[in-house]
Amino acid sequence: MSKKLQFVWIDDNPQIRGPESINIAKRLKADVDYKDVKNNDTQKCIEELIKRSTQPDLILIDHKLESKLFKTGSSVAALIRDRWPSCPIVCVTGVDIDTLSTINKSLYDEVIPFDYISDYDEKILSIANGFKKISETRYMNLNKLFDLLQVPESEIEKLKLILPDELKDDYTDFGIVTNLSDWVRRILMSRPGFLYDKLWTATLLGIKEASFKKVEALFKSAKYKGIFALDSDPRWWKASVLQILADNTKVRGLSFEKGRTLSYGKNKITKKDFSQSYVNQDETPETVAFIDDTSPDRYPESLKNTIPHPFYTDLLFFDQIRKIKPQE
Amino acid sequence: MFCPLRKKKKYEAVFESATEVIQKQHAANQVELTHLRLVASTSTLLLIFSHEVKSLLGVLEQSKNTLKNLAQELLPKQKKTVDDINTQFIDLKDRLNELLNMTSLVGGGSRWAKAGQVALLDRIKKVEKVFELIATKYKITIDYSRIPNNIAFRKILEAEVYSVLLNVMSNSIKSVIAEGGSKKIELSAERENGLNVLTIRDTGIGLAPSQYEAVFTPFISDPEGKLYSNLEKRINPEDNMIIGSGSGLGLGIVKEIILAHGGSIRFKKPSKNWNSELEIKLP
Repeated sequence: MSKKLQFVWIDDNPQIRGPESINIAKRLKADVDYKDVKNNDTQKCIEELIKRSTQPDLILIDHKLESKLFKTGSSVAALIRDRWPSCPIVCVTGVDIDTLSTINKSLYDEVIPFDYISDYDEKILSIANGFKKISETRYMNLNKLFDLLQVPESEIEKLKLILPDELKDDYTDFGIVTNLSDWVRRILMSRPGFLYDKLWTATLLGIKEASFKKVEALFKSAKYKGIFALDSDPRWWKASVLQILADNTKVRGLSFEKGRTLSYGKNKITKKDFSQSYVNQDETPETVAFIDDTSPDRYPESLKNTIPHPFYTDLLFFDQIRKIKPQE
Repeated sequence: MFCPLRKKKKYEAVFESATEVIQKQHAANQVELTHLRLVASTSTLLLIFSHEVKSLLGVLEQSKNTLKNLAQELLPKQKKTVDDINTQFIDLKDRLNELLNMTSLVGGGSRWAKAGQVALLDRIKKVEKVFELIATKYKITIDYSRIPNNIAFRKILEAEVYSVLLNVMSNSIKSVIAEGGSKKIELSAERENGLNVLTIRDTGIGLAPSQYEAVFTPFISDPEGKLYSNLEKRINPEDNMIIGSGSGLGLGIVKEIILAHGGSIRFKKPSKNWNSELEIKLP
């Protein structure tokens, strides 16, 4: 029987977050040690925590703390990081995440809103398990790193070219776990290129995001199953999707033309499943674009109706992030 | 003939009259200043209020999760009842969150304090949600099907777009309730000579052409005096808080925002079947 994950939650709101620590323990089947720093001496709590002989699997911490010595969770996080460099620290906050400074955010491995904490259960677990897997990898090297990511053979050389130096040269650095987590979750999984989310994958296949479920099973082997993978927000290796597409279609043409002929069992892609451009519904979308500079909403769109998004720099081997071109 | 006494009396009369005018103007200025102070303080109040309400979101989340845990230990029928309550909790929480996000934007929160391209249709949909309850209650139809997906303001704060839309839509909503009848509002947009032209038409009480300019003057919220008297007759007292009596600053602020971005705003003769037509031009 596998051992339960050991979490620590440092917070100053025992009335609300204390009971929630019991809830999350039940939901995630983990042990959660709630440290009340409102009614207790914060310094003593932190000292006791740091003196623990075993490293917790994950630490949850509030950002704003009512304490004499530590006003923010990020200052506590810096101390913990010094003691346990490979322990993930997740900030659970009631403040607007957009108002946190970049420096404060960088001291946490993830920042999640308390008001929606249960929506992040799988993410919290994937972070704890991902960090654990990286930490347990003895004598890390490039091959072991690619094993952790379960990279398809065809993508290895390209990934070698773009991996940050600190992830391919020196695996003795204490920060390797955090650096790897950061790059995998914020670049590899977030930027479309090697991995596609459901909207990008469906658009590549020329079908609507909602219709992808009809043929999703065909692409089971293309699904990303490496560290930090999430069932609730899955990714697919683009190269593997294209390979499966080639193996399962007889028509010649672009990926969307092939994708529109797919079928799986009784499910057949029909005209009503075809993806449509957000701006002009008669056109075939070739990319996914944000609607403007500020909204997080994205839609499939034809390239000619989009322009590069000014807030994203281009990355080698990754798709360009674009936004809808406003009407002239 | 020269008469110093007469001249003195004349000067005294002028002096007295000028003093009276100045005193009256001063008193009026004091009233305006007090009003402006109150209006300015609402932004702070709004943020304090939203902070307090936001803390309730956490309570709702924790209560929802506790209920969910509890439901797992119940019989199927009881579990369904608790799950239904939980669904209501989630709806309430999402709705509160949407309103708070809007409050934070308009109330001067630091989110999105960067000017950029802002798509119109998406923001109209969000503002419509703010008025959803009142629109449903008074059977108001808001039609924005004639707004193309790719109409976007070029370089503006998202908060400014919300401020413009909230003000003009709340004015139309008040006006159609005051008029009664079919209660229709239509928003349409097109690109014309390098500018976005947004037109808001409604079947409200309308505005006399002589008042087209006056409504943009601060503190003149109801130049013909018929909007609020009609509204009082038709609105439920409990909705007064939502619709309010108007600060008289809304359209003035909207005009300031639009002019600052090189745009224009004007009321024009309404098209057939409409009682009011407001045209906004913005890059």
